[in-house]
Amino acid sequence: MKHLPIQEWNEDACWRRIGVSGDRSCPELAQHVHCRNCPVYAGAAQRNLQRPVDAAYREAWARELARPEPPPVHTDAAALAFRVGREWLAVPAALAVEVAPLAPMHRLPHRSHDALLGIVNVGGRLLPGVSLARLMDVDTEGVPPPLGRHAFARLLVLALGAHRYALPVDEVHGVLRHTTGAMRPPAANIGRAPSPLVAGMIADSAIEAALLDTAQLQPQLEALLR
Amino acid sequence: MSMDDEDLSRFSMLDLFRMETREQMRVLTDGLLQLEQGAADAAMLESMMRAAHSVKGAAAIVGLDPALRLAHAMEDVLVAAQEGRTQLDPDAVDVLLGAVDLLQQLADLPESDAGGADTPHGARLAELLAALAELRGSPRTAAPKAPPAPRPPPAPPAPPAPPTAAAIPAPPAPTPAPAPAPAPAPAPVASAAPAIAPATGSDELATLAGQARLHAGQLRPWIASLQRYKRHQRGVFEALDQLQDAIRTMGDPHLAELAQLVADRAAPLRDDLHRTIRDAENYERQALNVSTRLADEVLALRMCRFADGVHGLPRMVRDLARGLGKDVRVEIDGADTLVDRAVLARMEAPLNQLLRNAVDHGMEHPDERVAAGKPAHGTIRLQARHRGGMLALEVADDGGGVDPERIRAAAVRRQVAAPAFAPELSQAELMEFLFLPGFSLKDSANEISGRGVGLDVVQEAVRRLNGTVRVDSTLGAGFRTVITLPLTQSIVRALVVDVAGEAYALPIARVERVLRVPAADVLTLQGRQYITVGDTGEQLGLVAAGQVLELGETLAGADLALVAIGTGRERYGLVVDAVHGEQSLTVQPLEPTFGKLRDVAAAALLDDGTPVLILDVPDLVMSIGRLLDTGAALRLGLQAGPAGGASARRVLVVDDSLTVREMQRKLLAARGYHVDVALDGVDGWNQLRAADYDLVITDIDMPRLDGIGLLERIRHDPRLARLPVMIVSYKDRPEDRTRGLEAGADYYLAKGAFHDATLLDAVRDLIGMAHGETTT
Repeated sequence: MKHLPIQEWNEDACWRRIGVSGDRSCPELAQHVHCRNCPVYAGAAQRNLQRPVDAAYREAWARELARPEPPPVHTDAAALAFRVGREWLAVPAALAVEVAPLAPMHRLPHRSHDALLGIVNVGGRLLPGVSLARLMDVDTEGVPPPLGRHAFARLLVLALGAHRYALPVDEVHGVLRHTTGAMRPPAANIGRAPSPLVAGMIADSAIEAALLDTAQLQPQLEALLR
Repeated sequence: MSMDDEDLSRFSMLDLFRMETREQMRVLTDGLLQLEQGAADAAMLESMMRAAHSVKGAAAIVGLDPALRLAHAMEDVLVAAQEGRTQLDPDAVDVLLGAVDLLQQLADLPESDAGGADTPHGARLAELLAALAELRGSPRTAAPKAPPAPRPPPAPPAPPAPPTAAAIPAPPAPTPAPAPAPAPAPAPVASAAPAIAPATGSDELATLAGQARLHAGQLRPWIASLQRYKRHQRGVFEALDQLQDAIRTMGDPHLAELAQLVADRAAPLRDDLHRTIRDAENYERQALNVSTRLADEVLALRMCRFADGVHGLPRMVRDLARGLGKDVRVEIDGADTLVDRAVLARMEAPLNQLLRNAVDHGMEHPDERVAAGKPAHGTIRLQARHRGGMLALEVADDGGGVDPERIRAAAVRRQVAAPAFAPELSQAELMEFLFLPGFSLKDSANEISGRGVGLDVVQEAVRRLNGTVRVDSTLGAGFRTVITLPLTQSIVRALVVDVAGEAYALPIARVERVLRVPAADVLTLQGRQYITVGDTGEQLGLVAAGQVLELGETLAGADLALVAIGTGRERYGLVVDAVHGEQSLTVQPLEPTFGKLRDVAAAALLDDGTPVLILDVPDLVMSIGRLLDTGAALRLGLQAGPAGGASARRVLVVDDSLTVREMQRKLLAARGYHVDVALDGVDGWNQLRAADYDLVITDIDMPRLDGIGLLERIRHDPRLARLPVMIVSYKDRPEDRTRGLEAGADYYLAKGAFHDATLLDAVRDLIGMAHGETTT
């Protein structure tokens, strides 16, 4: 949203000079302890809220409010978006049954060399843990933490066919609503990977992610269990 | 088996008919067997008649005409018997049992075939109907007057095995095959299937109940932390009191007022905390109580009455004995003993085998028995009871028994016992020979031949369930087999060990012994390692568990933790990282997900919620044998003697300051530790992944990856999660300390307060001396 004008404050802000935000030299402080208890402060607040607004300010807001609302985008599908390494991926929301805190994986003897990480305890149930990064060849080395927000690594539990899988992911974004018809095909070099797992690119106003192809994912995950 | 508490609405009418038939046929079979033994009274006849009548009515409802006619004919015969118009002798019982089998088969036909007159059962039906009509019509005397279909074909369902029947290694699988052939397949055991079907739904329940108990258990450490908090609080209050006293002495009224204010505000905290702790303790007690009861109840769900699992066996014995011209009865003792359904299902074949052995080889013919002064009919007692937290199954017959001297002779002849030792063998030891595969002496036709048939199979089945089997015999008086099994397969008592940094469990019944030996005692021959066990002088081959399971190289410390597994020649000392002790684990099957995993039987959760894999020891022993055969040495990464650097404890020092790094390295190296250095967190992480360390000492402020980040990676890595980590930092504010300890550091040392002794003391406290005893 564009910035709308904000009126200047041009009264003496004594609380910034001699009050709690200033050098605390105001004699009233002895009585009121904090500026917010002082009638001068309360009076300034009253005046600020009741000050007349100028024409330019009113005009800008009128224009803003008169703008027609953009037509709602019709979405017909939902996906859960998450991050692995630098890559934002998504699975149809119906498949994602649970997002659980990260838990230690226990490797399986004789099975340590593929994307099958082992078994992991998710709410008392032992599920196979599968590394999407290894399955999809995602580079996870040296990924800087995202700026401006906390990223929490999670276990994403997928129900595919008869099995459930726990996939460690670096971050879960949330549900991404999209239109099936508006899905864009992935770049040609991605579509021709030996095991193309990406069905297409989906996006909403906040994020763009690669939707995984369930029909491809399921047999690949099942193959890992054998 | 009662159907009352099941939801019956989801079954079709035919399903319901099948269930009812199964129920009623059990009543009929039991009744007929008792009748034959002369133990049946009028009430029994009455209930049998009613059973046939009910099936008749039910068959009419589902429109199953052949079943209706058969049930009707049976009912007529039973009514005739009730009124004394006919005598039910063994031949008549044969006919009736044949009808029971056919009725069961008719009920079990797929819906589409049901009622079809041209089914292969048609001919059999006609025969039986004729025989039944015969029974009803002609008052029979004890001597049957050669009936047109004397014993149609319902004869012995089991092929009357030749007396030298070493040829039945396993019981002929009791398939419920709706055999069109005249001889009805021995269906009785199969008909028990619904009663002991593995309860899959309760697996999930057991898992959840186990998890609930685990969660309740985790409240305890939380309450302990509240108690610690209370102690801290007490310290704060004491300090506050002192402060107040000091202020009072100073006499400053303003300060005194402020101090009073603080004291007033702090006063309720004590009671609040006290109340919180009390509430938490109450809650914990309740949660633990309820979840334990829940788990117990779920466990009880998996139990069924012993009789429900074995009700088919008396019929099997009767038919087999009759085919052999013997008279054998089965007594079931402890019918109400509760048994895990899964255990019972897997004991079915072994029990079957034992009973067959008893009938086939143990029991004498009636005239021999009378001659020996025993009752003409033999008795096999099948007993189930709980003893010392275990399930004891006993199969005892009063047949001819086994002559231990013959076993002795056979053992020598078969070269399984040295002639020199043979005379020394006790009776119990001699009996053990019967468990050897193939020890059935079929080349010598004496009465013990065959007695060992299938006993190896029985033993294998019992061992798979972590149980033991013992046999005992008195010549001329009988043979007894005692099987002892864990009450349930849902909970296993296991030894928890670490292999390659992760937890594994071995069922305690499979662990021969646990040993700790100095690495220096390991000897090598042909590149393979072994030790001599001190007290017995036995040589025990060592195999590195990490290599058997393909989890990577194992680097041994100064001491080796050994778990001896396997028996006889296949005995190995499995070298593990550490032995944690014995624990009861709630088993979670992995088969539905992975199929059979090599060397792994199942999984479970430890008390802290981390997964543990339960090893399949027989499988593991076989794996070891195979690997050794292919030339793998399965050797430990052993280093030279204690003088060599590498058997010392390994410490990794991570610090970006050269001075600090070198100082720490020299200090520790002087005490005999093996020290490696890393320049920052990333470097340290790479080194940690490449080799095994006993301790990491790290700074906090470092480029690329700081100490906290390194610590977090270590704690999240399954292999390194338990590695002791010490932080040495210039940051010595309490919040820095808290942050470090919260991230999982085991020790926090401020560089400000740093001098040689504190570092060395701390290192010694964490991992012990450079070459000393393991502290893990």
